[in-house]
Amino acid sequence: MTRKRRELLLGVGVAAFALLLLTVVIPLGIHVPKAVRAAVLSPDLWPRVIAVMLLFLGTVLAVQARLEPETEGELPGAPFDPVAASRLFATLALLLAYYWLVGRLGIVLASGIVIFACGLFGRSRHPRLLFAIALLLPLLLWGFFYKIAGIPLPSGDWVNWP
Amino acid sequence: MNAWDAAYWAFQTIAQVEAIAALGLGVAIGVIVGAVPGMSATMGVALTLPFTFSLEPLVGILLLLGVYKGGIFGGSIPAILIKTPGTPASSCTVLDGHPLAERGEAGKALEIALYASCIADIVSNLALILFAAWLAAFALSFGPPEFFTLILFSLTIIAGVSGDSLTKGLISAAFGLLAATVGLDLVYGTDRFIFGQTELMAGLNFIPVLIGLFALPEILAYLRRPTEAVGKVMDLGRHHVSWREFRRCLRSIGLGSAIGVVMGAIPGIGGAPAAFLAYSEARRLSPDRERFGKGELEGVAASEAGNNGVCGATLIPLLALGVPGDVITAVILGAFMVHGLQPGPIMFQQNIVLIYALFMGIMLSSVFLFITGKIAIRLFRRVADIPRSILYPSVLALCVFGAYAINNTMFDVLVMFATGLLGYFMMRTGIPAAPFLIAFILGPMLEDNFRQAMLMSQGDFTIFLRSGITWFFWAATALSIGLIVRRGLAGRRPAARYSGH
Repeated sequence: MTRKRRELLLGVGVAAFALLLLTVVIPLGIHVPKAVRAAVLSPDLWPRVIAVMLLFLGTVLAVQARLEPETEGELPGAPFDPVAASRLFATLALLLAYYWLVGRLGIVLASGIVIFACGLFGRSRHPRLLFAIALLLPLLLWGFFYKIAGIPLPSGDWVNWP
Repeated sequence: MNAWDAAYWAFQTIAQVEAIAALGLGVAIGVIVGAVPGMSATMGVALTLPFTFSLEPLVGILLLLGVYKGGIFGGSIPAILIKTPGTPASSCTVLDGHPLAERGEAGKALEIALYASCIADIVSNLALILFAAWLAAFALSFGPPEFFTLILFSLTIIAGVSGDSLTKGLISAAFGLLAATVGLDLVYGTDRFIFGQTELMAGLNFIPVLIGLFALPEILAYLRRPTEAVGKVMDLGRHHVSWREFRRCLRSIGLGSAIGVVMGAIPGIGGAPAAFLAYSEARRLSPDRERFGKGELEGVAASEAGNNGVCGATLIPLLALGVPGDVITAVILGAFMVHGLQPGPIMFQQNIVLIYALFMGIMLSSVFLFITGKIAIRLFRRVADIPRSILYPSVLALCVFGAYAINNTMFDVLVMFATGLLGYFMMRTGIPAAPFLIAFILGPMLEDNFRQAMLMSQGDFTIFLRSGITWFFWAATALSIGLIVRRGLAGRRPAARYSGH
């Protein structure tokens, strides 16, 4: 995808989002009391102003992209890389797994596992060092937040620690 | 309490082991974070912030200020040794710093960078101490209409952090303003974008948003395409800066410091433009200007003085008016709020001891910067060797612990993940993240002051023209927008000429 096309799509996307805000999200998501004294004090005024701003800016971006001359010899953007894309989805799955694991194993154990998994996924060439960090860092963070700062950390359904 | 009493109590407050240790530790963390390629001073401040929750406000804020100042200097180390600026502010240092390193004089370049940074830091701190109280006293007469126009003017700083496209910067800011509207309405107490989630009633917390925007996208980008790319680390060599060389650089250091102070006090300009302007002025005034760009010590001194001269001065609008000068001071503003403090003129009346203690701590930070910098120069090779496959997973765990610790809820971790994805999307589409954060922090202030002014005037908009101060800020905003448009048009003209239009 060329830069021009990407900018055009981005501008159209922002403008469409702004329209969605104005027509659906703001009316559904903001409760306006009947006793509002003046329109300028209404709770939905500010979000509406921002949505109109987004609509305007999205249109400007799209128009700018449309009017931008095709640069001679412009190379198309980087070709779609299926490996990188699948790695990105795997990373998102890892984040969700992290969130899920905290509820099952507690934040300390879950963090240790995720640090190790994440390092291996990042093709670490230092598995022993990675293992040591995965073991020590969550314990250090637990020591600071739980023992020093007195912040209760989440324990898990399966492992009731810390 | 008179000024001497306040200074006495401030000294008693700062002369505690915790405060001094926090400052020293902050500078050390900042230098390390700034020196690690792939991490930034903003990321360093963001990741340190959750560790300050349990600390006294002064101790916590000194820790963060230490990270900020250390981070800006730390960025010069990889700029000189591996031709990779650790922070955008140190991009200019590469121009002469790396050629010096290639000649085997890296130690000399790093030493002059450190001396210039420390001197500029002291000058900048003095400017802060001299001007902040004066500005705060002036701002005491501000009411909601004056603050509204001031914050509106401050929002034009977004132009300075918008990167290549002002439109994209403004889109980012609009999303930041929108995110700031989530929660209960302050006037009527009704829901705004809560959709039944009770956790959203108090609005989105700024720390998960901050961590998500500035730390998580780097981790996602690394895991998408893992590389251990760190350039070749140059040897320090055995050369040291002689007294004669230092004296020769003093003029450039003084000039760079002055430029840094002036540019730092104006919201939105930041360290990188100050460094480039200081560099170009030093080059213009130097009898050896042809040596600039080929390994000239004065060039390193000027750019480092320029970017460190900004540090103290950016705190002038923050402390005196409660508006941030750049993205890091926006984070520090958030840190004040987390600790229940609202920077601005009222703070100079109600918390003068804290303000004086902060001034003393900030002066002390220059000493810590000197000591830590000397050590860091020797140890950089070890910092540069930290494998990214170890660094980023560790940062991920820090992000999760930090986001959780604010309200002891995993909901904030989810918010952090969501803003991290948004930040990654913005990174990939060239939308800058800094305007989002600045607008997210300034947005509620802007809306509150607008609505308070409207309540005062019963909906009459002429209240925004009620005083000379509001007129001044309207004029400043108009001038700022005019300059932005002019710069935008000037930028487009050569491109149009190049493409034959």
